[in-house]
Amino acid sequence: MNTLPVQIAFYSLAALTLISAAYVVRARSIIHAGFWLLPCFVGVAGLFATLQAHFFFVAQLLIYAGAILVLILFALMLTRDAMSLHVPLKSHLGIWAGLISAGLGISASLVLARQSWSVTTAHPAGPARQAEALGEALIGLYAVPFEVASLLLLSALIGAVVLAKVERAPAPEPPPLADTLPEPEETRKEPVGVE
Amino acid sequence: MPGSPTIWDDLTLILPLIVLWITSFVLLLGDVVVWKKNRDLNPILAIVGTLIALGIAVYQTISLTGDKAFARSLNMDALAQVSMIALLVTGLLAILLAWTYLKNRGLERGEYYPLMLLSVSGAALMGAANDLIVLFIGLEILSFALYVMAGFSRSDIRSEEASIKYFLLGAFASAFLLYGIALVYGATQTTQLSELASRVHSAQTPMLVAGIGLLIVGLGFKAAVIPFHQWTPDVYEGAPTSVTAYMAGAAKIAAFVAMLRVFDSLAPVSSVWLGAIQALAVLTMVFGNLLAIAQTNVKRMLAYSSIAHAGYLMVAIATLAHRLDGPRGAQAGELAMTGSLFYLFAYTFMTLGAFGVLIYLSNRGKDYQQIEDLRGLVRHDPRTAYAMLFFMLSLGGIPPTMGFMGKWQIFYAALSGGEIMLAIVMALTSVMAAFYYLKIVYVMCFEEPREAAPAPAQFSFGASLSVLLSAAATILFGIMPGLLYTLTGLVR
Amino acid sequence: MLGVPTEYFLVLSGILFTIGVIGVLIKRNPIVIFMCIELMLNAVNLTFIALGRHFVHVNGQMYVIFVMAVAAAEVAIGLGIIVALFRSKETINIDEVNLMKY
Repeated sequence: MNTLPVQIAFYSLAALTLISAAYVVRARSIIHAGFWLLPCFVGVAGLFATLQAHFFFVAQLLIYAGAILVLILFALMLTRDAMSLHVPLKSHLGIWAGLISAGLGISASLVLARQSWSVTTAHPAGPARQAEALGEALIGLYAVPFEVASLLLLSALIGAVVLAKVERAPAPEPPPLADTLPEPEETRKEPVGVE
Repeated sequence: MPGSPTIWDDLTLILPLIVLWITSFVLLLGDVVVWKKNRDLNPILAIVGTLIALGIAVYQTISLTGDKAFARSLNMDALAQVSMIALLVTGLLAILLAWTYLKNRGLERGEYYPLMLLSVSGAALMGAANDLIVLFIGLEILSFALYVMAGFSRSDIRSEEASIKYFLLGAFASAFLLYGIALVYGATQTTQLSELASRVHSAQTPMLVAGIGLLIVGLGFKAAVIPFHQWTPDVYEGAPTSVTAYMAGAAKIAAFVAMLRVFDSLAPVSSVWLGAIQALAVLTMVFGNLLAIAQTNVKRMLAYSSIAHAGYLMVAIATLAHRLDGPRGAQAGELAMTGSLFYLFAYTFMTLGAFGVLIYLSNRGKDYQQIEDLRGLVRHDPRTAYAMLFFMLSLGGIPPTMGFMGKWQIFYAALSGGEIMLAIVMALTSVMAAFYYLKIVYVMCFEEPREAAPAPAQFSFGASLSVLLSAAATILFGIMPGLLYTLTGLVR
Repeated sequence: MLGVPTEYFLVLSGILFTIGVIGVLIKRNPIVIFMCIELMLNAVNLTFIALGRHFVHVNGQMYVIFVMAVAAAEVAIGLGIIVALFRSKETINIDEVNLMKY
């Protein structure tokens, strides 16, 4: 197989990913930042494809470009005046960010590139074999993390219920401490505008 | 795996965790379906489940049945089991506190206890992880529950702000931890800690160094080590006090046991990380104590004090680096291991005790958060004041309390491991720390109450029992530390 | 056959991770900070897949499954918290959450 198409694909996908990631950070409006995430996620999915990780190409598209992005956009819509928001830079953190990013970026590139990677000669298995190996590992070597991940999802689920459940009107006898809490916004305690 | 123990042996090893999971499922379903209004049943069942798990864990620890389990994903050795006991004790005390606190605040919602039990199991998994990915998932289970619990008081904007701040910084830290895991994997081709220990020495590439650095950042965030501590005071202050108490104990134990495990496996390349850990330890001890002095809010002060205690525990981790430097170093490493376990027990008893006093007092119809509020406490509630006195003395590391014994063990380990400089800083900052703990004692005992004595606190079973147990443990293990050594001594 | 050396992917993911870190540090809106954290997680995934291919080992891909599970759970919790906060603050600009008070 000719390597040139793979190289072209790599460079264009890398450019797509990095440029859109930069725009996520640069965008002045939150909505734009959210939309820039899409090409970034798709670019990463494409990179997975060039790495012959077929399963993850699909998973990336479904989970990130599908589920996570949609949820983020939902959150943007639910926080109503998001459209009008501008995302200002915070100066004193900006300096830190510059320093840290310069340090991280330079060291990452140097460190990772300096590693002496022996050239891989082995060919990755075909898609069917790869998925098979993944499945076997999930119920074998990685049974514990796999099962425990279900507890993670459960706790996230309970957490989401706690967050979403609208608090009822105050109980007949108000909690004894309610009026002594240092709460500047007494009147706005109950979420309005929620069914 | 042919020839290996059967699945039942593996399941038996994690029986305490299974009990916790079953309890949380029962609570979750029962609260919605079976006992809809009976709010007292939730904490009672949670306590029963935790006690059963604790009993099994203690039995398994004493009978030394620990082994690697589940294709080496878990390492249920003495460290895992003893830390699980510490976590279960923390959970038990925290459930008792929450029982009182949630009732006082009208926050009784059925999801609190299942979330908490799940997070205890996540923390225990962190302590038992033999694979970095299990460590990560355990950490996330612990953290997810804490993010939500921190925002449990939905009518209080500070609680919600605490929740969001904790979430964003926690997720940020998790990403660092994950990238660190990825780079360590890239350098050594494994993420199993037992494998790592034998491979790191021949894999000292820049990539490994970067990976270890990122691991330190990620774990440092969770353990609230300066300069990764910024979330701590705000989250401690904003979260409901019962959650703060639990978070202070459980998150600290889990983070440090995970650190002990990781840096124990990384001991062959200690030259890479020792300097960083030493620097963090000094920074944390000095600034944690300095910043604590300036606080006027007890919860905030305890937050900075928890940072300072993290600094003392970092000294133990630095000492662990000398584990492979001959017999003397090996002995120091062992001392550091057992000492930090003892210290974590002490820390959880005294911190939960101190928060417990605040919760007990809040029963009076006033939120006790400021140091000013404790003024003259000994006049109108001497028993509570004396309990607080013991916790403050213990936190300050004054003999004959448990806090002193813990600090002494780490100090001794550091000295015998050759970390003289750290030991000196530790001693000096402990003196500094005594200042702000004793300030509370002074305010409580020697100043006149500003207002007329408030109505005495109503008796509340949960908080009273929790404070009583913590105070008893603080004193008992301070005078007779041998009782606890039998447990912590098993680690190594 | 593979055409592109592994270190190219590693450097690329390093840069992506750095962009995410910068975003978290300079942005003040919780949702945008969260987006940047997702960028960082994507970088981690890319690293794992690249390393997994390099070592021809199922390990690397395995982690990505778990990272994706965690990321999905995180998005549920995180956006839940953000929306809940917004609801109680009502008209207050979400940007004014006193987030990075050091």
